[in-house]
Amino acid sequence: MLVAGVDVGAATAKAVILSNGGIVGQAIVPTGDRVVTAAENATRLALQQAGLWKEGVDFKELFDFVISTGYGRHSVPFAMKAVTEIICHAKGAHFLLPTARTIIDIGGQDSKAISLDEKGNVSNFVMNDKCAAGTGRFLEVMAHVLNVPIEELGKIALTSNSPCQISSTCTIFAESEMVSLRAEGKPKEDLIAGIVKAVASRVAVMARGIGFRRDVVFTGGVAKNIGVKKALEEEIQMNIIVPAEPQTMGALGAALLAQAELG
Amino acid sequence: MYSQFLQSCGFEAEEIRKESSRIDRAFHIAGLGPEDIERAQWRIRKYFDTTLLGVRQSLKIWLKRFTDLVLAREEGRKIIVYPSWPPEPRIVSMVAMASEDVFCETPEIVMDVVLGQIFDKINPVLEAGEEHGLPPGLAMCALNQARLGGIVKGVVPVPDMTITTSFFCDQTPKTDELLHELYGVRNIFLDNCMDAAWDEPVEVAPRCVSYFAAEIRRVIKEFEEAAGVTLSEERLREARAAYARPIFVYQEIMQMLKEADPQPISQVDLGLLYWLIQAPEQKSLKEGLAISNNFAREIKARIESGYGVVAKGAPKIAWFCHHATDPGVMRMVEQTGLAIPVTAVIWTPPWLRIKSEFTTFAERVADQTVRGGINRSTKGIIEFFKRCCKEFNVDGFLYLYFFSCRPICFSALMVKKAIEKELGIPVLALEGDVWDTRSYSVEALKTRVETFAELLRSRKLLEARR
Repeated sequence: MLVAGVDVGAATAKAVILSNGGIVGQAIVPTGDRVVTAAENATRLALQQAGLWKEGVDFKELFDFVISTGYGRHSVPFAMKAVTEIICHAKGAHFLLPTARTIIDIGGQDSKAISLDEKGNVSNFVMNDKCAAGTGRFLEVMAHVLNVPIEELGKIALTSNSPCQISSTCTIFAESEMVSLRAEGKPKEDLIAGIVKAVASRVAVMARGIGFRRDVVFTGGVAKNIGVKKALEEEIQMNIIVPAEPQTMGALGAALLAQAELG
Repeated sequence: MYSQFLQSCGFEAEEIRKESSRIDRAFHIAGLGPEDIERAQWRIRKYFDTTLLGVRQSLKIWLKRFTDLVLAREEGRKIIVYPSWPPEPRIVSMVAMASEDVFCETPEIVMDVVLGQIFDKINPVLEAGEEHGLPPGLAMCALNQARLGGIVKGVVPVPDMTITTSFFCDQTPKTDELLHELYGVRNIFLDNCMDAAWDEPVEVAPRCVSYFAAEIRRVIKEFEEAAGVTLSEERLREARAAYARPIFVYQEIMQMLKEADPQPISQVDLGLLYWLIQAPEQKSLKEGLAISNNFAREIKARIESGYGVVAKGAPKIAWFCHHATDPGVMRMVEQTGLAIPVTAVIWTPPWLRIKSEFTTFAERVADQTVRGGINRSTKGIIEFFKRCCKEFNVDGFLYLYFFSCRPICFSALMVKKAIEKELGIPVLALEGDVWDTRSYSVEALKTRVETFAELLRSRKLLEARR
């Protein structure tokens, strides 16, 4: 039984392939300007990793079931069903960590907090509304302004002893605030620590609406940022678990749901 | 194309011949051209079920109301504008019935339905309101920007008089003050007891009724002088009854929807009727009852035949606030497989179904208005929604709340908590001004709504297994 989960997010497209219940391939590619191409590329790379790729293969014929998720979920032509990323993240996280009861997911354009029951079903959720604050995009904008690779932000933040206070919750205003702090000569690590703290604080405030229950799992691309993880732990006063590959959690959940479709 | 458009909105050939020059003139003034008509036709096909006679009749009345509104000054009528929220139609119906020469309307609602829902061209009106004293966030909701912007843009003639209340929306009087400053429009302000403590129960102190009734009597007197008419108590009661009849039919429709499975009609279609009878003018008062009866008859027939706009057994939700300017939002919610038997703002709570002990027109109107619950304390608002969810036995509550509406945003999360805790059903709270499509989009709301639908389906399934 070969199934796939394809998660087309705002920044990246992810695919996970399950063969008889086991993960055999997974891939992440930038979404770029074409959702369909990104979904196909991620699936192709995952198939290559699984050693199942053949030129000219028809995904619809190859897979027994495919579920798409993420912002582009309704545009994946070879998916048989579309499910929201909130449900997929819950399934994926519960599969890897059955003790997970709260998920904090920070992606490229949104952030979510999800409450799970013991079966991995969503019991409550909250999602950022219209604002980029508290998302990966916020970090991208700030990394760009400071001319620091996005992957380095977390590590640099941990070296700060005196994080700056970024009080604006709006990405645009926070950027102005940071530019002013930079003009005042604040060290780069303090600026970056202030930025990750601002993201963590924003998300924690939002997530308090549903409450935190152990175990708390952090998923999405921003979970790779160790600075945000630490700042979140300080905010909520709990340990946070980051899975080995937090970015593919939605795709994994979609693949698990695809498998469940076949009974 | 023009005739085709009118036909799709229920106009007969003879009516088109008779009305088209006026409609044409009104569209010209409003800046509606062939491209707009083409878009409107597409939207009507996409969002409204014109196989229903009630829907076609409602669309027709809305276009006629829009035409009457735009041309009211040219046609030499005295124009009186009343507030959209809360609409005080019992008073307005009295005004509307006073004389054919007096045109009484709530322009922002007409513009929302016609320029917003049908034509998707209300944003220039809102922007005009924003540029002339009601910047984003200040207006509480975009209805106020539309009220001002319609006049600024010349779509709505400058009225002779506005009547304003403030017992729910305290921004409308401020908007009307602005209209006075900018255009010299005379305003009659209908005051009310706004001193409800936040946890005051839904029962209302008699002093509030007495005070409000006295205010209504004063406004009637001022209106009589301004319009040059005399309104007897009997005439006022007739007006109140004329307003109430279609509302009673609407309540019967809600009773049908409460029991129906599958849901036989989209709330998008019912929304056309709701505002037609809730915020009426002369045409709606005359024809509203017949249209409501047609809706009721068609819904009954659909229920009997088992017809549904969502699948049988679908989770049911109560919805607040009401129909959005973008009908796609409600359609999207229904397409995710959620039945919406009730939009909470329309529901009449039990404490309003009790016959008033008061006897005069003014006292009865006052009594019914201040007993509204949603018009008063925060506790009243919470109680209102809780009772509504309970009565309709819904599986969830979708609360699309206005972020800048003072009475609503203040209580939104308290309502969510109370319903989740006391009724044990999930609440999805979404933020957005339903009157302003710039503040929300179907795409941005979809992920949350689809997840909510999935959550409700899982719960329903689990309950069925137990």
